[in-house]
Amino acid sequence: MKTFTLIIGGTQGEGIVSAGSILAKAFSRSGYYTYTHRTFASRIKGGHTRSRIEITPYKNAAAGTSANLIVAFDKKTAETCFDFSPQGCIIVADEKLGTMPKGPACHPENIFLPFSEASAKAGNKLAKTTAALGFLCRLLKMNEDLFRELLAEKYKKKGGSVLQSNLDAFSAGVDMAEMPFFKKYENFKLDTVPSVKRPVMTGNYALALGALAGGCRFISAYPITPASEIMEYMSAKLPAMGGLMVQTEDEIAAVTMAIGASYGGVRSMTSTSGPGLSLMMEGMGLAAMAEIPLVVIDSQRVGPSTGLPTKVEQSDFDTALCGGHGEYPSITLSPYSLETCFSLTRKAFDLADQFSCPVFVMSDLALGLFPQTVDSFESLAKDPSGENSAPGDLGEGPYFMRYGENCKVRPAPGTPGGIHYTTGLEHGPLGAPDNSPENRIGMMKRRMEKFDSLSKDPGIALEKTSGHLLVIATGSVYGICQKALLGLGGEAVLGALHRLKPFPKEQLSALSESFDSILVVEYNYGGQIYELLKKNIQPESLGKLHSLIKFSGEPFTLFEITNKAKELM
Amino acid sequence: MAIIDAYTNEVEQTWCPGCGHYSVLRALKIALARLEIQNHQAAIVSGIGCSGRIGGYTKAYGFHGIHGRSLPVAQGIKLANKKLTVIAAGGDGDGFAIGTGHAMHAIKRNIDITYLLMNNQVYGLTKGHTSPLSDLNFVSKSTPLGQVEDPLRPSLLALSAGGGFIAQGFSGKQEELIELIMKGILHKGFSLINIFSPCVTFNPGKGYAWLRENLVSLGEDHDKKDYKGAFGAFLETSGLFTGLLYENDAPDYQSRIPLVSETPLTDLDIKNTRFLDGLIEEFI
Repeated sequence: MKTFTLIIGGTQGEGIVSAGSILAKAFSRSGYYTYTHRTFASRIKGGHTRSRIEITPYKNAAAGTSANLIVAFDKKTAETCFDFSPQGCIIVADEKLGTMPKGPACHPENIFLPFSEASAKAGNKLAKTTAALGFLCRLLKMNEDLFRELLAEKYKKKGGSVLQSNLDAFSAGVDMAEMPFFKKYENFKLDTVPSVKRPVMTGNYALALGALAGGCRFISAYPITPASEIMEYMSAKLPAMGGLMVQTEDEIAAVTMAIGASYGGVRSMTSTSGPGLSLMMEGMGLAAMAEIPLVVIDSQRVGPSTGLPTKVEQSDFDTALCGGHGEYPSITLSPYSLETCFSLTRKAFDLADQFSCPVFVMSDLALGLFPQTVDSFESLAKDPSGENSAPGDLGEGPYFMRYGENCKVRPAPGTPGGIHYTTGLEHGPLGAPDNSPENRIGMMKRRMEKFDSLSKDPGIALEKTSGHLLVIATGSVYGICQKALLGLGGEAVLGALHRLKPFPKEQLSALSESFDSILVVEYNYGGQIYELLKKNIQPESLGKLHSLIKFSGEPFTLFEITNKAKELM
Repeated sequence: MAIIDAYTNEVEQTWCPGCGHYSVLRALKIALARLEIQNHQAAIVSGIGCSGRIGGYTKAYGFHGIHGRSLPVAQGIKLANKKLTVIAAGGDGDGFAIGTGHAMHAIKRNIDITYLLMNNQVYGLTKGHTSPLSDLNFVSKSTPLGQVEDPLRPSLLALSAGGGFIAQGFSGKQEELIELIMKGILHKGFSLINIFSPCVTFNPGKGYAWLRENLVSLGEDHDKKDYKGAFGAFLETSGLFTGLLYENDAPDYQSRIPLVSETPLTDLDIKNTRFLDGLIEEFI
């Protein structure tokens, strides 16, 4: 088989997620690409969770392929997963469930397997998902030693008996796939692919790695779904690199502490999701006014307020673009793949340094939390550039003209000759408050017009610059569009909008002339990116703009994208 | 050159004549000079309010941020570069209304900075509003019928939050205040100095005369190491005292960090990205 999609689901806290990640690792170590879509509830124990893993020989950044196999540890897994093809899909349920859930129109093959019983026999009730791993490994004719190796890596720290019971449960699961029932599924074998070991990770880790590669050595943050892994990973890795993560009392402290550290001379960031972003807005104005570099990663979830914390939306763009009071300069980047989570975050630190202002990196829940196999980032890693913060000794002068004409140097405290004043008040060249109209006009222009060069850089990545239909997407929507448009045989061109501010106006003008229609696909009610394009496109092309929105919290289906695209072609 | 001149700059000072903050500024400048801290090695971080100007009036790196956030900014600066002397300063509204959460957590976190609470028990810059440290029955534009809430007690809060250096000073007792600021800077950890600094315009009832009459000095026999005794000393004086209430030698935040490095974050080499290979390998 070319591709294979399996779903494993059960109650949260039962090991469903770790089984899913072992599967993804096993296939990624064997040369395949995986994409895992996770469904979970905002609670720790109890509640339904499932991982839907798509295994492909090519890179895939979205869910949407029909399931071939469902492993159910609760009834909800089977009941809520009837989006698979009726032909050839089987439900394998833990015998402990007692009765098999009934599907609607389609009639998949069902079978009970004694996963719970096998784990009880192995002396570890928690190992029932490991038994399922054994079953899947044999059914898909994968290398058993590879799975055993992964189990050893996972459980060796927990002691010999835990590992042994898992290995025993695994072996019991392997035997289950030998039952006569599965003879007819001999075809459940993936086509061989070149043996390459690839990393598998979520966007949150790619963002954090990008930050480290960008020279970030300080992060202050407050835990929040779905951004917490960023601060967790940084806190695990920074100390050995001499850096530091501080978990603050709230998001206001997180952003202002990062501003302090950045002013202090170290590349600094914070990470959050919508509710935290709202709290951080006063920090954006300060960083922009005082011209202090700052990187803020926002992993968007459904808002407003607490919204749907475990569902995806892209509704914070407006807040990032103009959330705080007053008018201030900032840069808004938007990754659209794991690779760009890495490369754009890395670049965000250079831009923040170069332009001395806040830079937003707008990720989203699906990009941040759903693991996928990636090609290595090594080729994307460049050494950090920008030297504005490290001027060395500035000599004897009593004060430094930090905000003087053409001055981009930011002497950090401790720099001899660099003494100046920094304030959120309007200020003159030395940083001292100055409320004269002439100064105000000059300083506003200094801040607001610093991006003239950057706005001419392309902000939309695309492979073809002309055609019939241009589909614009960003974040996790990009991967879905990519997958959907593959099915249309290359008739539509996909563009990734990766810089929303300063907006690539000239590039959009050119594109609007060379395409007949432009479709903007995004997860929000108001069509925030659509409106942004509308504002920036020349009036004669307004009629070419179309919008496809979704705000249910669920990802787009491939059909929703292709249907709309076909309408416009 | 008088010792104070080392930290004096030419910026015009706009506090009201007679404002207690002039004396806080004077004591800070003398304390920094007596400790022979080089100007460029000091960062003065302030919030918003009359007190917020103090950084601008000192020849040092001055950071005047946003209302209530002087402490997170100051902590960030110290974490970036542990070699610096970092002073946070703010009024009672800045520190114990909008910034109360930060104050409590800064005390708890115990980063080696010194916090000067320029306490005049009123909002001066908004032209006279009740502060969380204003007395019961205090009449102002926001409490024309008198404040009906009891005031917060910063030193008691700091004791409860685990503060390792808690002192109170008075603008009108310069030598003691200078000494306290010097001790606070030398204390390795977070130091809170709650300074009675009269607002002669909007809280004249708590002016120099009243404070001179009502503030007592913690005597020679006060044991600054006695935690329980510190509560007692506060309660016996109803908080109307000056001196070092409590000090302990708990290690500061940066000494407690596992894998603590002597290199300030600002001195790290960020150009080298070879570490990435190893990190990415962990995801395979």
